[in-house]
Amino acid sequence: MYYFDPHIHMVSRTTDDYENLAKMGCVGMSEPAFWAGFDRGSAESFADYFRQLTEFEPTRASQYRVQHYSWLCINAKEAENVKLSREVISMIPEFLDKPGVLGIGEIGLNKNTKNEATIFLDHLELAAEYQQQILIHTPHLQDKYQGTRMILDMLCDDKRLEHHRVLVDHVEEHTIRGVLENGFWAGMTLYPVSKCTPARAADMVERYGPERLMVNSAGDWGPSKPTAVPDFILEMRRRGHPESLIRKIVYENPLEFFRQSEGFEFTPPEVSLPAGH
Amino acid sequence: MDSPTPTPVMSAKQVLDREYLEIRAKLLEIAASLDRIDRGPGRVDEEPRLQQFRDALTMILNSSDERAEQLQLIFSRTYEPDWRQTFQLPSN
Repeated sequence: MYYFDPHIHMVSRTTDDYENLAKMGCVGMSEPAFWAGFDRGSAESFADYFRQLTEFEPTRASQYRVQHYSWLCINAKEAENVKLSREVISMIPEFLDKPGVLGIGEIGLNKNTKNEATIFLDHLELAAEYQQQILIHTPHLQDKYQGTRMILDMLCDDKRLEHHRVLVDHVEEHTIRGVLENGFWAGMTLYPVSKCTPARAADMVERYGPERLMVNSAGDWGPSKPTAVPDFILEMRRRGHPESLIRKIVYENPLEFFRQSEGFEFTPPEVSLPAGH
Repeated sequence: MDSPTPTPVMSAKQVLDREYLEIRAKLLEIAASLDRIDRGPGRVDEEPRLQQFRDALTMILNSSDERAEQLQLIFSRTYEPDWRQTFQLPSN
């Protein structure tokens, strides 16, 4: 089955991972800007990172016929540094017209601090000004419930935002309802330790239905599994769910959401691409 | 048009058959981990994290619905609706 991983950090992965993902049916992916495992010291570091996301990774992915897209921001963890964050945010508009850029993300909260919330609001301003879609990171473990509620407060307060153009990621059992009930898209991140397992993601599909719901692997520099979406597909099959339902969640839903972005030009795998495209 | 919420296709008996050994193994890991804590030198009786475990196990035994959601909340920080006032951040 073809699938699309809507949230995966390929800058942390090897080229072998691209090959394995392609073999397992991955035909497209979107990569949000995130924390690299250490705090960067200057806005110039982010400019290089944005070039990596918008130039190098799409080229690397194309060798395996995987179509690569990206989101730009300064992540929630480094947002604690307000001065640096504002320098980075001021630089983002020059990258928004690059091919494959889908919007602003992954913005969000980490430890739910005042500085993080301040920079989250600055990102919302940027998204509203440039009419960009938004991809949101919600905090982990004990901070997730509180942080997700705070994020929903800020999103729902901003009447300029169209909820159907916002994806709230890393939802779990205690946060998914509020996200979906407010008209946002929800992403379930499959992860070995924190976040969600394929079985629990399948439980949430059975509980809430497939509308505005996606699954992703995150596939970052920490313990993670870039091929986690095929694990979800297998779990759904083992439970006897129809292929049409599985395809909706792992392929059709991401395409429906991303097509709202001007930067999304996708060639279905049924159409042959020229080599290296 | 919205898709209908998919009905679980496995019966309760099929789920139990499939997951019995897995659940047994997870319970065994919990029991062994708590034994390991007890065997270690020092005392952690007053640790709030141990109380979270007790609350979670009690909830699992006594609840009959939405156990995963309830367990998540036991391990979550509290949401304060007036957080923006606390941070002195404007709200629209």
